[in-house]
Order: sequence, then C-alpha cells, then structure tokens
Amino acid sequence: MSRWWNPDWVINVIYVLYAETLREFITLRRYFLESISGLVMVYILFMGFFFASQGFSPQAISLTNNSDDLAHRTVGFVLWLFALNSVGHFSNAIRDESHIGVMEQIALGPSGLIVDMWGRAIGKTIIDCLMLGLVLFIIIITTRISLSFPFFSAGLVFLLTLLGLYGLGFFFGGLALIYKRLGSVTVVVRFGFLILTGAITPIENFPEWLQVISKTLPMTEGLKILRLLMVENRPFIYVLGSGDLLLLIVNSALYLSIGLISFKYLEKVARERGLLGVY
Amino acid sequence: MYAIQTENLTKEFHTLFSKKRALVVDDINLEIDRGEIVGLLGPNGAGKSTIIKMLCGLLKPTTGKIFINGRQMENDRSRILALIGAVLEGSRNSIWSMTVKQNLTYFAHLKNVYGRAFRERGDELLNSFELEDKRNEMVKNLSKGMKQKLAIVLAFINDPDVILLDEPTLGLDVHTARLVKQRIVHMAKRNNKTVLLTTHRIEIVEEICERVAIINKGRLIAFEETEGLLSSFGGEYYIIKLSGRPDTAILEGLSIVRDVELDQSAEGEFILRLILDRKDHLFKVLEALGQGNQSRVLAINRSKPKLEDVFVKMVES
Repeated sequence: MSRWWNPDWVINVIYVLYAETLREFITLRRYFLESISGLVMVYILFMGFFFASQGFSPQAISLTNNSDDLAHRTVGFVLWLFALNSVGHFSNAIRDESHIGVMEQIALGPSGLIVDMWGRAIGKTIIDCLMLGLVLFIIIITTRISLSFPFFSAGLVFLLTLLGLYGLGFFFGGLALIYKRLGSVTVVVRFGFLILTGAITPIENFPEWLQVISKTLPMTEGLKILRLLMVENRPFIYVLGSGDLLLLIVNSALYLSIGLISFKYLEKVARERGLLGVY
Repeated sequence: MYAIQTENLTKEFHTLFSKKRALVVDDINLEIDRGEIVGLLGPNGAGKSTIIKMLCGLLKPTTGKIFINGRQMENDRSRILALIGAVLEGSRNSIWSMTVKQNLTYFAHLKNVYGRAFRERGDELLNSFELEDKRNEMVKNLSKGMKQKLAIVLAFINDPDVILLDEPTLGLDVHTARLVKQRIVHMAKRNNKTVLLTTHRIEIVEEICERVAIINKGRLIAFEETEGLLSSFGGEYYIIKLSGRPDTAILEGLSIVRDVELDQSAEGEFILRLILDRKDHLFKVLEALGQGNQSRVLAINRSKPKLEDVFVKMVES
C-alpha cells in the first residue's frame, strides 16, 4: 500500500491510464466503420428483441409505449451492453495481444498489469458511454419512451455496477493469461446475464432458487436501482433508505476484490509457467 | 554492486497434469558490471531466452535469485522493471496497427516516461536509428529491419540502466545489423549502460562484447572475457593452401597437431586448417606434408582463433 503515498508512483499510474485510454481511442478511430456497424447491429438487436413478436408497425410501437415495460427493458438492455463489454474486455485484449505478440512488452511496464487493465477499463467505459449513449438516444427518439437522467445518483449507481462487472472482467482476464482463449466461456456468462439479471424478464418471475442466484450477480442490483431512478423517478433518498445501494456496494466490492485477487494470483501462475504473453 | 547478478538461477517447467519436468536453466551464476556488454551464446534450446525472460521479470525462477542494480527481483519487481529495457525474440515488441509515433507515446507512457523527457528522448532515438521520417508511418508498413529498429528504440525509451536484447539482429540486412550494433555500443559506452545480448551471429559478440557467457543444455559452461576465452583456446592457428590433397592421416598421427580440417576451394586448391601448440612445430608439419609428395604448399597464413570455433568446440565437448 505504501506506494500509493508516493506522488511519483501516482503520477506514473495516471500516465499509464492516459496511455491505455489513448490507445482505446486510437483503436476506435482505426476501426471506426466496424464500431459504427456494431452500433447499428446493437440497435437492430434491440428492435428485434422487443418488437419482432409484435411486428414493427407504428401502432405496435405506440402500444408498447403506453407502459413502462419498454423503458424497463431499455435500461436493462443498455446496461447489459455495458456488461457485455466490461466482462470480456480484459480477456479479449489479453488474448489478442498474446496472439499478436505484444503482451510481453506490455507486461514489462513498471506499474503492473492491473494498473494497465484499469487504463483499458477507463478508456473502454468512456468510449462505451459515448457509443451506447448514442444508441440509447436513438432508442429514445424512435420509441418515444420517457427516461430520467439524475446525473449524480444514476452516475454513481452505474459506476458501482461497472466496478462489480470489471471485477468479473479481471477474473476472466486472469484466466486468459493462462488459457488464452476463453471466448465461449465469456459468451455464455455474458449472454447468461441478459436472462438472469432481469435485463429482459423481471427476476420476480423466476423460481425462488434462481432469484437467489440472480441477486448475487454483479449487474442485478445495479439494474434494479437504475430502473427505480430512471424509469420510476424515485428520489435517491428512497434508494438509500431501501438498503439496495448498500447491497450494491457490498456486491460490487466482493466481485472487485475477488477479481483483483484472482487476477494477481493467475498472473503469478502465468509468470511461473512462462505463459505471460505466450499464445 | 553488479548491474546484473544471478545466484543459482534455475528454471524447471512442468505441465499441469504431468509430473514430468524439464530443466531448462540449471544453476546459473552471472555477475555483470555496470557498463559491460556481455554476449550470451548457446545452441537452440540452450536456455538463453529463458534467462532473458527471467531477468526482465516475465518468468519466475524455480529457485535462485536475480539482482538488478542490487535490487532483488522478487521483492522489487516494479522498480526493477523501470530500470530495464528489453527486446524479446519471437515477440512483435510494437503494435503494428499503430504509427511509430503512437507506439512511442504508448510505450513511453507505460514505462513512465512523459513530458519533455519523452519528447527529447523520443526525438533523439528516432534520429539515432534513422526512423525520424517514419514517425507517422503505420508499423505494419515498415520493413523488417525498421520494425526491429523501432523495437530497440522502444526498449531504450525509458533510458534503462540494463538492456536485454534477445536476438536483436535476427533477420536484418548487413547495413541495418551494423547500425543496430553501432547504436548498442554507442548507448552502452556513452551512457554507461549494461547490455546482455543473445545472438546467433557470433561475429557480433566477438566484435562488441567484452565478456561471453556460453550456455549449453541450461548450464553455464563458460563465462569469460572474450579475449581470454579466445586465448584459452590457445595455440597457433594456421591455414595452409596446397596444390593437391594431403595425407591428413599422417598429420593426425603427429601429437603436436590439433583439430585438422581439410576443405577444397572452388579453384581446386586444398585448404588445410590446423592448430599447433608452438610456432616451431610448423616445420614438422611441412616435413610431414612433404612425405606424401602429392601436394605442394602454395601459401601459409597464421590466423587467430575465432569465437565461433571456440563456441562450437565448447558446446561439442
């Protein structure tokens, strides 16, 4: 912990975070067309999920608008998109960089891989906020749903939720240092989130045992609070009083701690076995 | 205090579900002073790259200790990494989908170099390695030599005290290899940096390294000054050009002659290479060659032993 008190170390960490954020933007610019087509795909996926069964007629859309159901689902869907990126971002990056052969050079950074991964998380989150914010904006315009954006409270809950999700991301990132290709594992987990966290179906409809599992996942509690704030327009004080925020903090802290500890341990194992950077 | 020091450095690998172990590095002790350029030689699979990876903290030794500038790797890894620059063999060492300038910015910041220091050092290195006009070029569009020069620039960007180069001239043309060699010597000597390099181009080691460590099957079989190593394989090296095929059996029968080798040149002349313990033994050799009456001596040249000969003999023995 002592190095956190060393100003030089803190400045170094800030520059590493800057380097990784910059790199995320360079990658975005380089593959801009791919990113835009990804957004179009996301929008089509959303429309498919929620309107395909009813047809795409304006009447169907306006019928759905009459309830809060679509707004609930929209918040769930967009948060799930963030989860999709944060849970698999580190493992994908480690796999790709090991494959192209730059992971070893990155691992030679004095600030360590965990700081490096945080840099990526920050860069990715900023980019996701811009890109998925655009998708959300288009969804709101085209479906005419009503959502509130209490900046401080929703922002805080969103960040706390992301921390838990990145905790899981660290765990998978650590596994990727050793096993490299985790594609199908993270895909199962990420799509499992769509169903199990209540993003499209309220978890109250699940059997009780599944509800228990669902509530332990890193996105569920955050999603519940965001819906309270953004769809049902509940004040933040209500969330504080309900104890939901405390649950979210505990949940995210647990996921993050487990993620960081397992990443550190798996990095050590990778160094022992000579797998750091080897594909 | 040594710039690089290893104590009983050992690395064993074993697979996850098997108890079978492979001893790759076996009890290596190295002591390298600040400002020295040391060559690490060994046949393929000798353990050179494993040693380099352990020295830069990418691989944890099974047993033994590593000290860089007096700091122990296991206790002080992040501080040590700030003192090291490495070019790793089989690794891209740079991001090909970014430009030279973007790579420089990215890796410099990862290695805690920023602001004025970064700009000045970056410019100096790009000029020094003749890459200044390639700043905005995508790395993937550069030639192999330029990519390798960029890898070395990135390794030097944090002005490291210890530079570890695993096959820095692999696949380079003569001009680029010479430039890389000159720059390594320049950086090391001007700024008192320590360089440990592995290469299969033994003439580079012979030319620029003050000491040579020879590794075979994970063990250190020699670690001496280059000159000392060459003279320890003492004796008088002779190259004798002959008009016809000599009877080498007669020569091999003489106890004063060592390591007789015979080649034929494109012009049909026979080239006899041999080592004598003393200069005056040459007369006995000439006498013996005359016995066969089949060949005439065309020329006699004395030569120094080459590091390549020493290396091959040590590894074979």
